[in-house]
Amino acid sequence: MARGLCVGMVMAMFVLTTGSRVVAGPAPIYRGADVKFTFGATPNEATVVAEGLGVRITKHVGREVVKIRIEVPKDVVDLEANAKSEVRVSRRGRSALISMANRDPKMIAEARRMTEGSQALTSFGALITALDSDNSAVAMSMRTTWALLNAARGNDGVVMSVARRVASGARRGPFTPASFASEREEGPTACWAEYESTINVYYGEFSSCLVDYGWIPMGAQACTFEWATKSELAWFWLISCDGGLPK
Amino acid sequence: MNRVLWVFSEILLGVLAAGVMTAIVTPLLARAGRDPGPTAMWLTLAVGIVLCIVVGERLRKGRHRHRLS
Repeated sequence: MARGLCVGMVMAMFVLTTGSRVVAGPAPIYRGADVKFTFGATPNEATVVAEGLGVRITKHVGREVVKIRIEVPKDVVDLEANAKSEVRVSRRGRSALISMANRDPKMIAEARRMTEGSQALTSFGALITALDSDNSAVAMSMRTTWALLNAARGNDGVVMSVARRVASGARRGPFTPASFASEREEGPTACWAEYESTINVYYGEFSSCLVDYGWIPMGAQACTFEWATKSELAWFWLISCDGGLPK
Repeated sequence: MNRVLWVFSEILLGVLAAGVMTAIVTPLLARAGRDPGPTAMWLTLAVGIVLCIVVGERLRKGRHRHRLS
């Protein structure tokens, strides 16, 4: 009996490990109707990709530098900000370096000229409008990118608007998931949405864990064990949260 | 008593198996642009428990026959 149980556990671990290695990868999370977010991470850098309305925004956040690429099929705008308060805007082989501490009007004007008529930025603006009702951290990250870009182009109105929004959010208190925003908002749909986003995050973490530690003997098994434990906890949370069949 | 414990274990394993199945399938469906929705939870739970009971009962009967022979 004990031998059979051990063999079964080893088999299950083997199937999960090999199967999950094949299928694991960054899983996208959909926000609103059209915007899709994909996450990735390495020990030194976090990545978020937002796609929607024909534009793709790739944001690499490192310890010292944040690199952002805004692209549509025939237009690319690059933005690079570092810990020295410098922002570099690049487009079509030209670039402007702006120090945000003492914003040089000449460089701001250069950045504005460079990005004038950019289809990528027009689409990015539309994407920000589409995310208007989204208060998630990733949507806020996109809004701050939009604000930074506009600050580099001398448009402080957008910066002030984002700052006001952040301040009003801070007054309301810490961020809470949508499903817990009110006392009895829990229901099958809200609980499922919470579970789905959580499980997607776990899946992304599992993928990163396999990439980072899968090469170590037993590393993949350890990643699988961590993922399976967290997934089971989320699953039991979902069962306790659900409260019945959806109406 | 043994029988009750056996069935209880089958149900418990079924719930755990359903959790793993949902954790694998949900991100894959999300990646394909589909949302299985909250009904999927009950469906997976039912499938997991039924599967584990069927397999468990087969195992139990097999063991029983093996003992008799």
